[in-house]
Amino acid sequence: MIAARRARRAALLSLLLLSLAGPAGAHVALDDQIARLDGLIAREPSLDLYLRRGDLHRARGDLASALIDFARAGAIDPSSADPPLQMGRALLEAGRTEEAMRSFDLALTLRPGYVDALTGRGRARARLGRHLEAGADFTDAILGCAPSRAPQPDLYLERASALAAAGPEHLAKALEGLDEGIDRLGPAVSLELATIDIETRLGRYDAALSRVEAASLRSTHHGHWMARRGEILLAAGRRTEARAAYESALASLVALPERRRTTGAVVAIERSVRDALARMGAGGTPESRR
Amino acid sequence: MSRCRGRAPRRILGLLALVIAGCGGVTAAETVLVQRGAPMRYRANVLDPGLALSWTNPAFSDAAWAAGSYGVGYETAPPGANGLIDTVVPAGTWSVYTRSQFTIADVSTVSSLTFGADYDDGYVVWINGVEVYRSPEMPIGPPAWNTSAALHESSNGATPVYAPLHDITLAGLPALHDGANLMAVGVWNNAQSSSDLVLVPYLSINRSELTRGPYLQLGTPDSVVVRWRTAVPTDSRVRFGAAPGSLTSFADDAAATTEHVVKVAGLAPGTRYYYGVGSSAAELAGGDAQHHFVTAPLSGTTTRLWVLGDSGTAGAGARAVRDAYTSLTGPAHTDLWLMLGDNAYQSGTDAEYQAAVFDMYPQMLRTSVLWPTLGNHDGVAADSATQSGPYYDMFSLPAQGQAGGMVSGTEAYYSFDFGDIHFICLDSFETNRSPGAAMLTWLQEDVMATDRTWVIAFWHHPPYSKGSHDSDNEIEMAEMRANALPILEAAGVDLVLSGHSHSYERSYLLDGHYGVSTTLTSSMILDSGSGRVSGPGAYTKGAGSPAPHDGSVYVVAGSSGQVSGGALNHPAMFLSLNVLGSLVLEIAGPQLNGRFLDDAGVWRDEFTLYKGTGSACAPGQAPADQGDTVTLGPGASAIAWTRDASSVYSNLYRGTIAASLPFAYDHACLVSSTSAQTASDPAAPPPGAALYYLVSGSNACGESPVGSSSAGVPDPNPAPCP
Repeated sequence: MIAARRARRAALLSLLLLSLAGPAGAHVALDDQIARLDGLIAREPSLDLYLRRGDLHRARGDLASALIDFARAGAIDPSSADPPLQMGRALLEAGRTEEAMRSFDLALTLRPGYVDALTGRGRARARLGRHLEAGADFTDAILGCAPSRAPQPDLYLERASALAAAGPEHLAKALEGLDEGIDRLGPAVSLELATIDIETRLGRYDAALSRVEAASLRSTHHGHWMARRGEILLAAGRRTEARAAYESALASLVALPERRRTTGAVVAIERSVRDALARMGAGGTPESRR
Repeated sequence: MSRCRGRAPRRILGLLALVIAGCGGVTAAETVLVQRGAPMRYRANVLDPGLALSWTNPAFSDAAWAAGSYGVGYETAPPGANGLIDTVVPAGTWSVYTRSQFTIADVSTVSSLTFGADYDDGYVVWINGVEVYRSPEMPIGPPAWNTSAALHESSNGATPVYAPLHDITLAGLPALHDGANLMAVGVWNNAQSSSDLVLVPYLSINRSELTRGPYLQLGTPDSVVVRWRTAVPTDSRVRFGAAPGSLTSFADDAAATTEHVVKVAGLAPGTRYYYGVGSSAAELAGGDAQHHFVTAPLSGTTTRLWVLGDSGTAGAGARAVRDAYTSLTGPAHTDLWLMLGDNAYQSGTDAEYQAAVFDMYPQMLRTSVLWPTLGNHDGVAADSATQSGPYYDMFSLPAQGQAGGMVSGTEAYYSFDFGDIHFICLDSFETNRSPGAAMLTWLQEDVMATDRTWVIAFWHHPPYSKGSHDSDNEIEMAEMRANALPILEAAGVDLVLSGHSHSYERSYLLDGHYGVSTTLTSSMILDSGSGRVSGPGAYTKGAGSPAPHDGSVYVVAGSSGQVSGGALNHPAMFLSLNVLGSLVLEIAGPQLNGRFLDDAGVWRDEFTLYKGTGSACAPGQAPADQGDTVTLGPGASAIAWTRDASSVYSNLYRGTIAASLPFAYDHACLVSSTSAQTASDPAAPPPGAALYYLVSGSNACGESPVGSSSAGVPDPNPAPCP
């Protein structure tokens, strides 16, 4: 794993080019590095050097040379899972998803439970529409992080996204996974927002509202969360409560200091709140029509 | 009790402030007594030698034993442990008894004993017949010649690995005496049929127990995390208090560890504390004027930051940059410091961090909280996906919003507040930089929630650079520019700091430039001036908290360890320099000054952001002494003063006039950076003595001299408030 990380990052740390727009100057820098590695490999080839040069080729947009170097690295140490991991990443990046899958599979055969390979295969499977299998890979990757370590919130989000994409019958499982992430990482707002969305999609409006309430208590920005509350209540058909929530949100937003009120996100929220109130006003609440 | 209003004695001593430099404890250097190659006598036991434990006694005669040197053992599956074995015993040996003499001239000079071993499978150590340590593989009770140890494998390397080292001071020190001493070590096999048996012991005295730090992390208004590393596991204790000689409180962690992480909580905001670190048994460092911290203020204050980018060379360049800054600041406190990534070349290993950070900046580490971000070199050995590796092991960062800001759930990116400033640290290297991914989702919520006057963001890969890295070509730089900047600018970010390119590049006041350099238009440059008060003037923004698209300054400060050239012609930049140096930020009230200090101590750039319509001060030019007037009363503890318009805050100092000669000024900071103009002091003077008060003004450009004291006389400047 270290060899792969070092190789990938040694390449990245120099110059990672946007594959579509590499001016000559930047390519020269990469070429220089590749030329230096050519010399080193000529003297004493090693798995690490091939992986590093392969990643430079990949960064340079030369997938064929990259794959050759990764294959050479694999030939030096067929028991290492790093060459197929790197191969899988390069193929995935190039859109050759099926082939990437096979490389990740090999990496996992050589090193069962390899977190980087599980993550890569999960992404490949998600791209292929094999959402449940992707979710399983992300789960294994999460479990593969030692108890003293913590995965990034992104891994939980990717799993939830895969499960949600697998169909509405898997939303509950997606939610469960996000809560697992919150339990492990703390109430990261990125995860909280995702749980609120899924609760709403599941029609569990009270649960969504409870989550909004909890998040609001941890925030200094109550207008934002009141607006969320309004959205959920509206989705639940509780228009009177929704109107009250929107009005409360608006009052909170308007009470912000002028400069905070005009920040991009606050402006967007205020606009959506006013729009929602306008729509409700035009149609009237069920209660008001009675 | 009535307050005396004594007259402060006139200029007596400029000496009081001198004092303390260099008063650290002196400890003896480590002396290794036994290690690989050390001579010894030994007996290899294939059969019962019939000695019980008599061989561990100094009086035992080992004259009939063979002479050899450590390491001792056998290996039947070469190479295995052959690289460790200098004295070979027969295969199938159950145990080997070894005896080695060492001399200590004066036991009173010994403060600690440390033991370690590279071994297979288990061992027990005696000093002068007293058992001082046994490895975990050995069962309890007196070991027989054929006691079976649990399995343990040696390093099988060419050089012994003695770690983990064990502190055997408690058991071993009482057993030592002046002159010749005996160390007896037995090593036991798991089974006689074992393929190998190895013992390479290590015994030393006066090993420097503190091997890293102390260093400060995660500072908040009421807490700070103190970290340090020791050579051997101990429990952890931080003692702290208001004065170096008065560390009356402590925070503990009972778990034995070499990586000590202690949260000191229940502190007062904006307050200086002195501290020492160690164990419940002994203090290893601190308790002097060199070890102190100042808690974060709750609100506005005069704040000085030191910003280092790509400083991790551990070389002459980094030292010169460091020395230029410390020469400039002298004893003045640095409120916090940032590292912009590539903090330790080449790979961010623990050893590289030791050289490039902990051995390079020990003084700053123990007095000011360091807030780092991950660079690509740090990311070679560290992994953000699992928050593992040296970077994540050695830093305590606020994943749970402990220091203000939203919970990110990861140490890879986080935010914190310091007074009027909200800081945002992003991971531009290893974390998903896409819109909708966790980091930018968190960022959106975090910037929306802050209510601070200033917002400063920092990460490693600059959105704009034509230094040793070109922001038109590298994906990290492009994605941070395209994805993070719109969120930040919409929230009114004031300043964005990065490294990566080993140069200093400072932009105009910008907004809305999210493409490659050729897409920059004049409408994106909100102020094309220098931003210099001494020139066309500061970059001005609206008063108060951040407003959207009000303009931001972007600084690449990646030359704190080396310079690497580049075209240095990004059109967004007002100034681009291929010069070693660091960035110094000074912030007070509506003004933020940024100044680039080169490695020779010369200011090479300055810019000012000013919020509102007032007039900015010129960086480096402290407010003039306007004779801020201090009055007392009407109550016994009431203090009031005037403040000149050029100052934003006041610092209040209190002194005591002794009842008898010699008179001396002893005033010290009582209230730091307050926006108020009154205070009360419940302290009562000692019998017969008097208290007096002095006030200075401060702004982003410095602190004025103090005016006349409450006794109505001009006084020399006191030691500055934190």
